[in-house]
Amino acid sequence: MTSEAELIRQAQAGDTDAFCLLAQAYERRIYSLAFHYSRERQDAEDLSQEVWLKAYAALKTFRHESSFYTWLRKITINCFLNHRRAKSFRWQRQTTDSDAVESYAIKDDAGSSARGVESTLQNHLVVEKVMQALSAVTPQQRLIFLLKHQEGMTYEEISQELGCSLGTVKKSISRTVAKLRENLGVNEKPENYLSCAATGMLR
Amino acid sequence: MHNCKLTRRSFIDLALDEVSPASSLQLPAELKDCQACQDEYAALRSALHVSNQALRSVLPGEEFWSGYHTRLHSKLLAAPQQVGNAGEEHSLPHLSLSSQLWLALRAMATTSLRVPLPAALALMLLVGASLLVLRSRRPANVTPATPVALVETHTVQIPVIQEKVVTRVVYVEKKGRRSASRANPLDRRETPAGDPAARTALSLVGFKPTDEIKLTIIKGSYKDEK
Repeated sequence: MTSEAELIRQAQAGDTDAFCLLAQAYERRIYSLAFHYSRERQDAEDLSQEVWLKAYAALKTFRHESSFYTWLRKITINCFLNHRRAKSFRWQRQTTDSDAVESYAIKDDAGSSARGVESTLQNHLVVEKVMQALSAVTPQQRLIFLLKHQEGMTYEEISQELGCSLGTVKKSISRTVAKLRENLGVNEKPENYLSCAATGMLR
Repeated sequence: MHNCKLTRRSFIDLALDEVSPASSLQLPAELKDCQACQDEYAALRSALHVSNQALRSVLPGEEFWSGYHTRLHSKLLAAPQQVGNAGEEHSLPHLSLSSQLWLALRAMATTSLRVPLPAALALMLLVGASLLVLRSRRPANVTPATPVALVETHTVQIPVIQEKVVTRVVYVEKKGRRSASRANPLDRRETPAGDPAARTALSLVGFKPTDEIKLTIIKGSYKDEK
């Protein structure tokens, strides 16, 4: 099996197939981040593919000083920030509940319900609550939360990547977590959080 | 002493593995002693766990990825790759010159730069100020030039007559004594009648104060004179 370094070298030499193999290794992570950030299936696909196109265009500048994914994540964050500036009017439109529900309907059409936990109405409502909580914060706060919670980046790394202070990072995460807790209604019964969150939704 | 409020401030950091090594030992010890803090921390972790599960569950299934990958592959084939030097240009996907030019122009037009807000504001202020300055200067340049009167200075030297001021002191006799001087024939002889200036000039020439002082005592006052 060809190693990642070898694939990178081949892709740098212009081998598109080698780059496609590289993309296959990380496309789900990038798409996942894009989908949770944009909350729209079409936007997520556009965003994630834009990331790959930019990475391909700039692959010559990759000097193996960091891991390939770290380099790719930098491009991803820049793409997200540029996308936010370009489509800021769309973010405002998407904050309504009806749009969020519509977004999940599209997601179901894509055939994503392979996991059992998602098939129940209760879990569907919980997912909706989480997405509503993420919609209630600003795009930057959402991105900071996702970079910490999903990508496992440190506060320091996030502040460097986004060019903001550590305080801003902490505040953004704190605010997003508070929104999540508020929406999920999970307060003092951690063992029963799913029903708690779902009941909160039906109230 | 345990302080619930202070302890709970660190819960998010603790749940996200962002506490210092010292706090990572201290916080669990504090949690053991306070049931309310334990519940609070458990609720926080649950919320994070639920959100993590929910975010994972909304990802598309396997069938989605084949189509996604095909679309990405076709886009990659159409996209140019940056070339480090001219010798590597052969490794670019074969695109026509016009499409490469179009892609380059599109990339140039859609490229955005991240500019810090203070720098952007300063730049905007600078541009605005320069526009204002240009605008304020423009009317002065546009207005038709009015004929400017040329002032020529010629120096003409003319003789200036400096008049001499002669001070002459004229002594004039008082009225009461004029009649006495009329009686003096000497005065009348020496004073030409037709020249009053000469008469006044000569009026004191022959004057000699008398040696004798004649005292006249007048008795009475103005009341008696009446």
